[in-house]
Amino acid sequence: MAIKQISIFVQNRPGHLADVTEILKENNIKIIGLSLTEGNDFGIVRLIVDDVYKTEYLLKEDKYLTRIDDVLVILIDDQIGLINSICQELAKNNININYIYMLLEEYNKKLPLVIKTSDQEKTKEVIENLGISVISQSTKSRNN
Amino acid sequence: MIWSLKETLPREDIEEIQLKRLKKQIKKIYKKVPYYREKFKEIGIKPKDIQSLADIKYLPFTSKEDLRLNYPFGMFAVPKEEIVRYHASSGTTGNPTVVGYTRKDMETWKECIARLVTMAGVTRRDIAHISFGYGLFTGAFGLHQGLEKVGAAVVPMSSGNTQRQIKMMKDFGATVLIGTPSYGLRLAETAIEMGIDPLTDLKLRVGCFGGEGSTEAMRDKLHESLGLFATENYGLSEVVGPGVSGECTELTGLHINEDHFLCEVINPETGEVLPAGEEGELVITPLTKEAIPVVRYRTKDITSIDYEPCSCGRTTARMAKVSGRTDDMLIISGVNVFPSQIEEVLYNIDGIGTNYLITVYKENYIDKIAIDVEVTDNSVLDSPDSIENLLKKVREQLHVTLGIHPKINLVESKKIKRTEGKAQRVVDLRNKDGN
Repeated sequence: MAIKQISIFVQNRPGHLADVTEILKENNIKIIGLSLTEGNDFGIVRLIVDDVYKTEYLLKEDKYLTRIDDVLVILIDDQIGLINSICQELAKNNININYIYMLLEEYNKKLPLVIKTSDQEKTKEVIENLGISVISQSTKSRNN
Repeated sequence: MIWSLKETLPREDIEEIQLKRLKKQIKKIYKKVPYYREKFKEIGIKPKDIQSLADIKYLPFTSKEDLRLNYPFGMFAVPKEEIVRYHASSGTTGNPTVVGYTRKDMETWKECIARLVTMAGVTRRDIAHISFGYGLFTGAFGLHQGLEKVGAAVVPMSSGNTQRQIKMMKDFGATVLIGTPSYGLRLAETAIEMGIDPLTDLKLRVGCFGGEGSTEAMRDKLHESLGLFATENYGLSEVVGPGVSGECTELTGLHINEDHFLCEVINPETGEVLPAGEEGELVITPLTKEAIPVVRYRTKDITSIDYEPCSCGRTTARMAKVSGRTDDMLIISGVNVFPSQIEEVLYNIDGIGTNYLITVYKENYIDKIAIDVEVTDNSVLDSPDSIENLLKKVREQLHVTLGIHPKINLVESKKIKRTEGKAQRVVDLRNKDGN
């Protein structure tokens, strides 16, 4: 089972991201990871939250365009060269990385990293073969 | 200079010509256009009932819709072999409105334009650069033929490629500019960017602008930036194209070619004819048109008419600059667009919702249109590229179908403004005073 990430369409203007985070705060939803991709006049907000379906429900109620995707969260040690090994290995397997971002809190003393690639299944396999663990939403939620 | 003595006749003589021509025109229309014959019969009127100019109020109006319903040739009054030219309205989905010209119509058209450019100050010694697009749109060909009649040298540049336009104006020594006022301002800006100072490097002295309304502020700006005397002329393809009226150098309104066009101003709600000087919708009956002679054509343009003689020596009535529209048609840099047409294009694009907001504004005196559009297909959240592609598709569809280049803002649905629960579709920020 993979981690659920919610993506939200926002305009690239002051206050538009704040409108989204306000809804989350009002409903006591915890942001565990956040990334913002910038287009010319728009942005795509990607969030890992403690309750993705509630978040989706609330945002849809406010007519936001949202989408839920499976992403991988990998746990890495704070160590020079580790990210390089991952990137090299993915390149070798001809896997393209769409985006990567960090979660906001450590997990078992390791740094959690969200990764979305052109082939998620294979990515999981490649990373696990490097001896790096990949976590799922269920274990993550229990620990919160 | 005054091109024709017809422009200086006493009012009684003008009205005498008008009445004679109106009677003849209505008789002919009744005989040749079944559509009008039926309409006249429905309301129980015969050509002989028209005995004075005021009697025109008994005749039915004609709208753009009537022309569309009779697409393409239902309103024509002559056999097809008599037609020497066709034109059609711009920027429409569905059926356009088609108009035709006989050989005599072409002569009338040239005569009308010759008068208008002459009253703006154009002479046979001028070099006239035409930046209207040549095609079904009447603007370019209309001005072209009339300018040739006057004897000016015509440069049929057509639209687009602004830098090349400036090079040609400079190299050919153009003295007259023909186009939309907003394009005139764009030419000025582009010239400066190219390191060409229009005031010293170009020889422009007169501008004959049309295709869209303009303001006094725009006139000043055109004068300051291009060094020319800016005049405006008016017309619409349904009655001739450009050639109905134009400004003389006194700038006291647009002189109507009254021997060819009978103009009335009506209350757009009741259809009642308004007294001279009152503002309302302009209604035009061409008095000499052969190919497609419409009766009481409703222009939807708001103006008023002044029948006092002008200090320029002309006695023809003058209409005020058009101050607005009675319908929601938008004129964006000379292109006519109805919000409903934009809506139709948007509704046919997958991934876009049914809520939108059109904003029309001016940027450096040039008309701009922006459309807020909501995205409904969440698969585009995959990557910014998917969203860019959707944007591109919306832009392309609007350009291909309507000829406009809007700025598209993809927005969150809830950010599209609604008034009283009902969607507000158009916001026009263009200030009537010019900004």
